[in-house]
Amino acid sequence: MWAAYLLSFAMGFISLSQEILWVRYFGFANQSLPQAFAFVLAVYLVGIALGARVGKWVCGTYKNLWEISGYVLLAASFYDLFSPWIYAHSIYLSSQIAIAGVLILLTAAFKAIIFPIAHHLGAPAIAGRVGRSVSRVYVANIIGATLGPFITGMILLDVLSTQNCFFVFAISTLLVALFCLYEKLLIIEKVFISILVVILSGFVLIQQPQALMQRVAAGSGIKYMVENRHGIVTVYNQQEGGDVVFGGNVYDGRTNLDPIVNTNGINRVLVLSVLQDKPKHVLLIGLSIGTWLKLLTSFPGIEQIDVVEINPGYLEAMRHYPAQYSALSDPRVHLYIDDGRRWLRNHRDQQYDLIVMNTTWHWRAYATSLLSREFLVLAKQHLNAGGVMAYNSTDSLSVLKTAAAVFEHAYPYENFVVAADFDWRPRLRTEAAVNKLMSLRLDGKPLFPVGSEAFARYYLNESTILDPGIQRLFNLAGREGGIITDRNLLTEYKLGRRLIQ
Amino acid sequence: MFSASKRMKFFVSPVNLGASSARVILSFLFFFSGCAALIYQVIWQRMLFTIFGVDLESVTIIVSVFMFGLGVGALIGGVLADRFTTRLLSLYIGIELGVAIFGFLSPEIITTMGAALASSSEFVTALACFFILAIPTILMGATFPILVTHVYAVDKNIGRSVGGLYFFNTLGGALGAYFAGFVLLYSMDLYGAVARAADINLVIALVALLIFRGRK
Repeated sequence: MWAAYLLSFAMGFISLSQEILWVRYFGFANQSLPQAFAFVLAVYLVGIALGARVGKWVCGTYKNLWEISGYVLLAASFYDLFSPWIYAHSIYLSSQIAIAGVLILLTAAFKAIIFPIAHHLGAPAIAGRVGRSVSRVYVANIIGATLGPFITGMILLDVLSTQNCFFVFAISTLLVALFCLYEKLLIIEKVFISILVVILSGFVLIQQPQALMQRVAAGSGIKYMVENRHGIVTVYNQQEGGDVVFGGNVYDGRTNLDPIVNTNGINRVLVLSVLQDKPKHVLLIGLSIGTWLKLLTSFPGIEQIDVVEINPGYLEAMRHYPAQYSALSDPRVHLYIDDGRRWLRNHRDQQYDLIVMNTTWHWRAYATSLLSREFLVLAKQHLNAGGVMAYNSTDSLSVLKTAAAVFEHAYPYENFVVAADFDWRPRLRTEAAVNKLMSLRLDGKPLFPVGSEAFARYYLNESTILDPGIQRLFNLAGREGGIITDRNLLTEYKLGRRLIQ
Repeated sequence: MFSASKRMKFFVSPVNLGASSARVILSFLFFFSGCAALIYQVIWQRMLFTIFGVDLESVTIIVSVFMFGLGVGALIGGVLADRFTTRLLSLYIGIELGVAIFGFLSPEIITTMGAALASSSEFVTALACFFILAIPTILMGATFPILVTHVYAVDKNIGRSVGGLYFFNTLGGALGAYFAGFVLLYSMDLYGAVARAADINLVIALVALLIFRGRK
C-alpha cells in the first residue's frame, strides 16, 4: 500500500518537475513568448491523458503491475536523458515546435502510464471505502506534483543548470524503475544498472553545464551565461561597440558607454538629463548589465538612484564589466532585488523626479505588468511635480497610446516613450540643452569629447529624431494599436508575436 | 413541435440510458470539467500575478496553492463519495454549479482582494490567495474520487476506472490550456475568458441534471 503511495508521489514529483524544466527550456528557445507556457501545458496534458489511457489498458491486461511499471520507467529514464538534446539539435528546423511537442508529450506520457497503475495497486477494492482509497493515492500524487515544482523551481534551478536538472530527473526516474523492479532483478542486473548510472553521471559531469541552453541560444559567440532560478542572462562577445546582453534569449542591451560609438542608443538616456533643471531622485526599473545606471550617475545634481531588478543574475554578469559594476558602489545608488511593480506598490512614500525603465520587448510574457495603464497610474503617483517617465516602447504603438492615456504629454524619442504632464519637447531645442549634454562627465571624464558638439546637437535635433520616430512607430506597428490594460494583455496576445504563425 | 405538457415532461424526466451510454456521457462531461479547470488555472494565475508580482516566488506560491486545494478537495471528495454512495451524480452536479458560480464572481473577488491587499506583506497576500482559491480548487479536486467511485460501481476495476476518467479529464484540460493561451486571449480579455469557463461548468451541470436526474 505505502509503496503504491510512494510510486504515485514520485510520479507527481518527477512529472511536474520535468514540466517546469520544459517550460523554462522551450520558453528560452522561443524568446519567452507568452504562449510558450500554454503550449507546454497543453501538450503535457495530452501526454498525461494518453499515458493514463495506456495505463488503463495495462491494468486490465497485466497481472504483475510492479514489473510492468519498472520496465516503463526504465524506458522513460533513457528517454528523459536524450529528449532535451534531440530538441537542441532540431532547434534550427522549421518543424522545431512540432518536434518539441512530440518530445514533451512523450515525457509526460511515460510517467502518466503509472498513474492508474499506482491507484490500482494502492486502492484495494473494499466495499464502502473505494472513494477514500482512491483519494489517498491521488493525494500522494498531488503532494508530489506540488512539491516537485516548488523544490525544482526554488532550489534546484538555483544550484544546478537546466541541463543538469534534466539529468537529475532522468536518474530519479531510473531509481524509481529499480524500486519497482527490485524483487525481479538478479544481483548481476542490479550491478550492471548501478555501473550504468555511474557512467552516465560521469558523462554529464564532464559536460559544460550550460551546453544545452547554449545550443538553443539566439546567437553565437557566447562569452558568459548566468543561469539561476530567476532566468538566464547571456553575454555575447563583440569586437566593436561593446558586448551584447540577452535576457531570456532576447536582446537586452550592450555594454558600450561611448555616445559617439553609440551602438546601443544611449542618447535615449542622456537626453533625459536636459528635460529637467536638476533631477535629484531617480528610479531605474531594470538594471540589466548596468550601462544605463552608469550613465545616470553622470547626470549633475543626482542625489539618489533607486534601482529595482528582478533577476540577481545580472549582478553576476556585471562583474565582468568594471565600469558598470562600479556604479553599484556609488553611495547614491540603492539596489533592490524585487518585482518593479510590487516594489512601487510597497514603497508608497518614495517620490521621484525621473523614472526610467529599460523595458523588455512588449510581446514578451508578463510585459503587461510594466506597460499597462494601471501600472502607469501607479508610477505616476510616485512622480514629483514636473517629473518625467521614460521607457522603451520597443516599437509598439499601443505602448505610446497607453502612455498618452495617462500623461498629458507622451511623445516618442526614437523608440522611447517620454511622458510627463508638461510638453518636454521645447527643452530639447535650446542651446542650454547642448551645453548640458556637453558637460556630462563619467568617472571624471567628459562623455562627449571636445569637438563632438555635432553629435550632441544631432541627439537633440527634433526634425531628425522626433518626427521620423513617430512615423517609424506608426509604420512598424502595422496594426491598430490600443490602450494596454491588466485585463486585455494587448501586446502579449492580440497585438503580440505568435508562437505558431 | 412539443406541446407544453410534453415539453415539461422532457425537461423533468430522467433520460433512459444504458450503463455504457451513461458512462460515455459522463466521460464527455468530465472532459469539459477538465477544459474549464485549465482555463481557470491559466487565467486566475494571470490575474494573481498582477497582485503578487511576476517573480518566480510568486509563480511558485500560486501554483502550490492551486495544487494544495486540489489535494484537499480530493480527500474531502473521497470521504463524501463513500458517505453518499447513492447521491454521487447529484454531488457532481452540485460541485459543477458551485464552480460555475465562483467562476462568474471570481474576477471581482480577485480584483477586490488585490485592491484590499495593495500594501500587505507577501505572507498575508499568499494567505488571502489561498483562502480565495481554496473554494474552487477544493470543489474541483473533489470531483475525481466521486466520479471514480461512481464508475467503479459498474466497472469493478479501479485502475480502469481511474485511467478512463483521468484520460478524458486531462485531455479536456489540454484543450482548456490550448484555448486559454491560443484562442480566448486573442479575442477577449481575462474577465471574458473566465466567464467562458464558468459557462462551461454551468452547461455541464445543466446537461448532467437533465440526463442523470434520478440516477445514483
